[in-house]
Amino acid sequence: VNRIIHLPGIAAKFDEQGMTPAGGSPAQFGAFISSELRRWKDAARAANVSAE
Amino acid sequence: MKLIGEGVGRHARLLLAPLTAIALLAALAAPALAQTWPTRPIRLIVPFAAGGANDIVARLIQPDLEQALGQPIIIENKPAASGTVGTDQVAKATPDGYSLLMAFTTHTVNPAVNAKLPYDTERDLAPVVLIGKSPLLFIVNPSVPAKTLSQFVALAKQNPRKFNYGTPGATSQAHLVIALWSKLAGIEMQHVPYRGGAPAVLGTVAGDVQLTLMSPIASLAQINAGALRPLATGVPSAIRIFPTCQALPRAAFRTSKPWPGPASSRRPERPQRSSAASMRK
Repeated sequence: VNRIIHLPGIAAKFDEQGMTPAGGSPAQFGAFISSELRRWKDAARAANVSAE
Repeated sequence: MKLIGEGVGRHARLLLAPLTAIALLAALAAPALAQTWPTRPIRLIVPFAAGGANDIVARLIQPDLEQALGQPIIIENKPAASGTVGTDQVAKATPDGYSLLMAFTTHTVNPAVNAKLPYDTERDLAPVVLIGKSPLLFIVNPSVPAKTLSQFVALAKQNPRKFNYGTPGATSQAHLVIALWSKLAGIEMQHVPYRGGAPAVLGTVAGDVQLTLMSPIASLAQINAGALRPLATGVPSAIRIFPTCQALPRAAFRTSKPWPGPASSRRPERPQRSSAASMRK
C-alpha cells in the first residue's frame, strides 16, 4: 500500500482531489489512532454530541 | 474580548483545518500473517455507501493492490450506524489477514460518542496503514444566498432552525465538527444524518439540506457541475482546486471581532486534557 499510494497514477488522482498520501508503518498509524481518539473525545464533550 | 475564551483554542485546529483521514485496518495481529499470505481473495469492507470518499479511495487502489498481492480484493459496502456495523464485522472476523476495513476519521470519532460499541477500536483491529488525508469543505446548495461562511452564519442567525445540515451519519466527524462550530458561532440548525457521504452529497444537491461538510473526493463532480458550492475550508491546499473557496483565517478565534460571528454566551465545557493534533498536516 505504501508503494501504491505513491505510484504516479494514484498520486495524481489523489492530488486532483486535494488528497495527500500518507503511508508509514503500522506502529506510526497506531499512534495516530491513539491521538485521534483523545482529540475526538475532547471534541465530543465540547460539542455535546453523543449516541443515545 | 475573545470569542468564547480559552476553551476555543484547543478546538481551533479541529475547526479551522478540518481534514479527514482514510486508512486500512485489519482483523489480525500483524506478526501472525502466514508467509504464504495471500492464497485466496481478500475481503475489504467499506462501512459506508458506495460513492463516498473511502469507497472511492478503496476502488482507486483496488486494481494495484490486487496486482501487488496476486489475489482479488472483494469490496463490500456495509452502510449502517456510522460505520460501526461494517467495522464490527471486521473486528469479529477471523484474524487471518483476509478481512480488511477501509476506515476514515469517523472510526476514531465513534468511540468518543458511543460508549456501547460492540468492539474495542484499539484492541480488536490492527492498524495496517494510513492511506491519506483529505481536506473537508463547507459546502452549500447553490440556492443558498451566501458566498462566504460568514454570510452563511449571518443568514442562519436571521433564520434560526431554518437550515438543515447533512452529514454521512449521526455522530460522524462532520456531525461533530458542524455541531461544535455552530455552537461556537451561535447558530441553530437541524441535523440530517445520511448513510454515508454519497447520500449526504445527493441530499445537499437536492436541497433537502442546505449545508454539508465534505471531502472533495466525494463532492468534486457535483462542485464542478455547479450543483454544489464550496464556501470555505481551513486547508490551504484545497484553495488550489477551489479558488473561490474562502480560506478560514487561523487567527480568527483569537481576535476581538472574530469569525465565525458574535460571541455566544456559553463557554464549551472544559476538556480534561489537551488534544494531540500534532500528526495532522
